[in-house]
Amino acid sequence: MLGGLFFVPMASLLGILVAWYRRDPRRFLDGPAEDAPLRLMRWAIGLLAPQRAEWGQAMLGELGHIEGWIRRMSFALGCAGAALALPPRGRAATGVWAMIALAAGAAGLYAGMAVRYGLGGGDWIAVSILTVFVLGVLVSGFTFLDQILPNTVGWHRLVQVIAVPFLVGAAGTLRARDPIIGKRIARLAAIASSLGLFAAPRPPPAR
Amino acid sequence: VTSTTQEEATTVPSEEVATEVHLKSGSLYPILVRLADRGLLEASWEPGVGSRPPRHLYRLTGEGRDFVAALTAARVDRTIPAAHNRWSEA
Repeated sequence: MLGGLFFVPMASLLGILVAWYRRDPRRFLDGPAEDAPLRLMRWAIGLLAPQRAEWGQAMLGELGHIEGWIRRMSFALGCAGAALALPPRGRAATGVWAMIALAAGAAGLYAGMAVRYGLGGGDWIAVSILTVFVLGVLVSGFTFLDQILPNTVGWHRLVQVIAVPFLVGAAGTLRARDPIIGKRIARLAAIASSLGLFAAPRPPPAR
Repeated sequence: VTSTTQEEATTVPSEEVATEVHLKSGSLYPILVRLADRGLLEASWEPGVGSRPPRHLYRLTGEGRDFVAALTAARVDRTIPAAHNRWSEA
């Protein structure tokens, strides 16, 4: 049963990696985040394709002229929806849609397994925790990671495609006490990491 | 969007447009982007004042005004025959 939960951590890992590589400080205004609508807006404009960057700045500028938390949040939510739907979609937006699809697929898988085999109380607790974690990554994790992670270049692809799957596989081996299972986990992690690399935008060129 | 920008012959921020046409930002911005992509709308930047950041202002282009005029004419053409029908029925 717990083997089925592997998809959600992979989806979370994919989201974290996408957030890491999507980080481009030129797309954000300097200064600390002031409130949730502004953080949401910064996240949303980061989803836009490079050719729509000016529209992102326009949304951000308009938000600065709107008073009241509810009105600001409503405006930011609308802009986030527009950024996700507006063509051409950037790699970050594609990554978010991939995350949503993975999360929905995992939820469907759990629902199917629950109906077919039934889940125990402990499994439901694990599913709930992982679901909350995935939602957290979807809703706020990108922004949070954008703010705290360093802007790495060069070696990050090796870390993403080799080191992270290796560590995930090692953890899986230790947990399952079976190297074959660990190998499978590492292979899935490598696939997820590659998807993350595909979904993430190119890092900014050195200035 | 069109009536506001045409009649006043001035630039307006998106918030004003949204209030005028009763659209939320999630619906309004994709429309503004499409209009700008088609060359019907142009945007300019209003400099920021104090702590307020610069904001986008929008205005119809000449092509946009022509499009609105054609659209309005087409709407009038559609409503006039309907009125005639009602009168003939009476």
